[in-house]
Amino acid sequence: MDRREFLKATAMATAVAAAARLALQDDAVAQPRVDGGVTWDKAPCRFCGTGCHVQVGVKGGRVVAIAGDQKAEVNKGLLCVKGYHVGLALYGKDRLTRPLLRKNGKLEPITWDQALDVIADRVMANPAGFAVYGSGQWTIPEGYAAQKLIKAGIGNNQIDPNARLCMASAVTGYLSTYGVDEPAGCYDDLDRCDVLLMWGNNPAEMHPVLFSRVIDRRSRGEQVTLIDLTTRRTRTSGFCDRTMLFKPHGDLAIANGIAHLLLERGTWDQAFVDKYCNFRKRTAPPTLDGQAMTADEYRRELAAYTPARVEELSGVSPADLSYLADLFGDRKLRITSLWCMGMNQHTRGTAINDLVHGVHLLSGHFGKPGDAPTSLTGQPSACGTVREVGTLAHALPGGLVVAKDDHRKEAEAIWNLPPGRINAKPGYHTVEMWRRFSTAKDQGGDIDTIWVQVTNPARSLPNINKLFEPSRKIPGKFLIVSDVYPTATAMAADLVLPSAMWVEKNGMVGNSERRTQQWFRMVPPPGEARDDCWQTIAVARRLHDRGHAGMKDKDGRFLFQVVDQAGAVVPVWDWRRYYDVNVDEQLFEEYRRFSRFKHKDLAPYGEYVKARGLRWPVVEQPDGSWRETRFRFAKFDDPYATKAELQFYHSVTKDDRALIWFHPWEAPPEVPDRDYPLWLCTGRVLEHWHTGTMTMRIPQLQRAMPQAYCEMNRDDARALGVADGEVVVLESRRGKLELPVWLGGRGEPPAGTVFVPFFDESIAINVATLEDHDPLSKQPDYKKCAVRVRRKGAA
Amino acid sequence: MSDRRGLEIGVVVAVAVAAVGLVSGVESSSREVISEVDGRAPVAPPRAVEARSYRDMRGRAYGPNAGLPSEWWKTLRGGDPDLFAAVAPQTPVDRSAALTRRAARRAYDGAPPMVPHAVDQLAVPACLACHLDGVRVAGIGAPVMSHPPQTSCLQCHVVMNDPRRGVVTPPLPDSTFVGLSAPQDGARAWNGAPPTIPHTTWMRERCDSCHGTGGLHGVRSTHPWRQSCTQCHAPSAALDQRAPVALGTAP
Repeated sequence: MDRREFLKATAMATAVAAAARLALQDDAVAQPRVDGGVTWDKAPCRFCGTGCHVQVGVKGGRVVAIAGDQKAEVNKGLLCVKGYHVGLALYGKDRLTRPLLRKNGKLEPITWDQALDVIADRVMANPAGFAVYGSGQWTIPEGYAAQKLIKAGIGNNQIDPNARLCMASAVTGYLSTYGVDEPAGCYDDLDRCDVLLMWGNNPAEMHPVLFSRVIDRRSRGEQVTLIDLTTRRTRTSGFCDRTMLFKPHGDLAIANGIAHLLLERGTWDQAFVDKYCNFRKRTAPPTLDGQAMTADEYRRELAAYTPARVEELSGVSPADLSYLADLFGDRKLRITSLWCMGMNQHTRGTAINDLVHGVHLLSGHFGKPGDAPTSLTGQPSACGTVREVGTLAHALPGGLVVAKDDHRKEAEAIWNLPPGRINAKPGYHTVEMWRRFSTAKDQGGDIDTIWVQVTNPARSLPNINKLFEPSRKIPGKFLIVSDVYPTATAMAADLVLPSAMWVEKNGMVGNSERRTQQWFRMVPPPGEARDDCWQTIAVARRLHDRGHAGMKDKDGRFLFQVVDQAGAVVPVWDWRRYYDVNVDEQLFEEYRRFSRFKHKDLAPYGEYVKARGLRWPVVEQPDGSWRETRFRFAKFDDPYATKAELQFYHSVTKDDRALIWFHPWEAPPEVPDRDYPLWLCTGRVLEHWHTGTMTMRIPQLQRAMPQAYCEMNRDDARALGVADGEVVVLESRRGKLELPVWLGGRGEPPAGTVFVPFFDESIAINVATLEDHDPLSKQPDYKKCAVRVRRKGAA
Repeated sequence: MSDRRGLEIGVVVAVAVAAVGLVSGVESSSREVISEVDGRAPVAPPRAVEARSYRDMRGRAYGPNAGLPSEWWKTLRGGDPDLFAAVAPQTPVDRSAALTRRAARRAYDGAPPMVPHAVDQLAVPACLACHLDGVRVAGIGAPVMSHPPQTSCLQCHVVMNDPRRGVVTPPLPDSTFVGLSAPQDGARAWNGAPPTIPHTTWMRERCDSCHGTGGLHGVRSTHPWRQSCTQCHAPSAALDQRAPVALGTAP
């Protein structure tokens, strides 16, 4: 589509939107503002899982300015430095604008038509070996389309997202504790808590707007106690009342130690536990259901976690542990726990998630505003697209799973598929998918084509020398990448598809507090870049035309049939026709039928157009309005909790109770030793997001943090003879790299620990990390492995 | 000692301590930094400044504020600037120059300005000590923050130069972004009428940040002693995201 066509289409879309608004007659909020030649409209920020809304200023078909959206409850008009510069993410000079195919080792331009044929050829040749690797940055409709392509169409269940590396352990923690995923509380807890306990979390840099929401309360004269449980001092530490440094993996001992003291001192909330909880222990092999245990058994298991023993395992002093137990033992306080990758990227991720929920339940710090265990997410739609749409190898939309007969039947009914179409066997989780892609076929490598959308596995997978690099050398392996920039993954691909991003397309996402958000396309994508959702539908149509039986429903209709208002089929697989209708809206209206199964009700698309996001369950009221839910399971707010003050209506034990788990501390899979004497922790920094493919192309962010570094304790540096800024070689059993040392920089690790951020594509720290993962969530541990560091040139 | 005198000393001490916090333990960039106020380039600062004591600090030049004369702290002044001092005539050329200088630290009009001096990357910085009221010393002034105080300043304001020491900084990325430029002036109903405010007042509630006595020549108010700016200068509801809700038509 050329510019004139785009303007025409935009004008049409605007006219349609205006007509819709006229019909609603109540909605000036959704209307773009025009001022001084600049049109302003709402969109959620492209980056993290906080879900701030921005106002996007557009002039002449280009984004020219950003403002915090004052009507957004999440951020109330404030942003972080990434949010203020999010509009610049579109304008890196090296945007991908044409499909590229590798010929004789070189990526050369081809047409979209040829690109679709290449993909269709791969699928038709070996449908079983074709996989989609997606993302918590997929919009909801994008993820839903990919999900449907694989689960309803190709039928091998080979779809998994990068969110597996990001929040899978939070999911298994919620499922095993409450029987249903996602936080009970929401960001309102931050406005009400007396104590904020951060478990291995650095929100001052990673979720700055939420952190400010808490600390700005102090400026207003409110009392909030901030406690930082961490393995290194961070920018968050400086704002905290107490910083407790713990040894990597010591978090399990700390949580058990708190529970032990609550029981020993009799400060646990017996009335709450008697009414709302059961005790649970793990089985071998572990499952999400576990097995029952009595309160006495639970007490006996915890008896080993005395303050002295906890200090030995975690390094946290008995005085600090006692302080934490005192807080939880105080019924008058409201305590919110926050965590993100520290607890999730953990070989015991499910266990530590369970234990933190358990401490809250045991002490009754649950279900009142400000009293909540809440996991934060790192990606804009890890919740909306991955957890809710279920773009995981074992899942179907709405919390259904492929392994359950009745769940498959429900999905087949909504998708109008012939009975038995959906495969009952889960596909491969992320690590397994890439391991098999990086293994020759005759050695069990049965995945031969992966289509990557909206992520950068060549930098974000752990142990990339094992999981990614071999695939680029093994004959017959074919990598397809849809992206907006020549990322490390795109440059290693066999086929590259240029994508539209953010406000170059319509979109919907879901943030960490169950809030579903919507925006409209505001500017055209560059060159031949096109929406990922269109790419998926176009491939499905190509397969349909080639006679792939899975691309039709039971009545012979195309899987992604889209109709106009008169009911006529619109050929949206033809890019020129894609924006004739709102494909996002049609996919969302189909998808939201799934949202009822687990009481995660979503409202009609039009409600999200009007709002700055709504938190599910969003339930229709007698007057026809739609009401969001802030506090799940609590009778005072959740319409589905009717029987008692708290009702866990998806309880694992089917008795409306949550589970308090016991999990023992166990040693991590790799610990520092004589050969590799240092702990390596990886993570993010304020200015950059994910692997930096967007933020490192924004001059203001890049100049503030232009390169990755090895953060090191001064004593370790002295012992190694390393000066500040000196280039060192960092090496694990899996790989090595060179990078400069930064002493006294953004963080301050204790002796024996180094930290390296992963935003810098040119410093691929994931050559060093472990692919060892949690047995249930399958999420790898990026936060601890053993490395050694030496001066460059030293033996 | 009268209470007022004690207060003034207290203010000066607090500011001095905070200023020491700003420059101690941090390294300045070797790149040229132009002072926002007087436009002159300071001399290249020495490397790896790390103050061990107050006495120790006397002999050093600090970070981006290295252009300061020796014993600069003696010129620190607390208290209000002279609101009634005469303002030199300002031309459109002056305004244009002021806006150009202002734009150098912003991606677009409305973006949070970047920090032209080094800051401690780990600790909670004491930005407010200088930027709350715009401390001036030796001809260099800290810009007054334009919005009500918030706690985590570095969440939005990041440094303009590589914060690390002793490293080779990679080149800046190429970008085709063209940011919204600052509006030239507000509309006047007639010649002599007070101009309307041509920009949002969200996060720009403190007019004296740019238009007060410490503001850039070219955009300064001729009457900084008047405190109620919006009494005469009307803000824009549309720019401030306060556009009125359309009323439905009666059936």
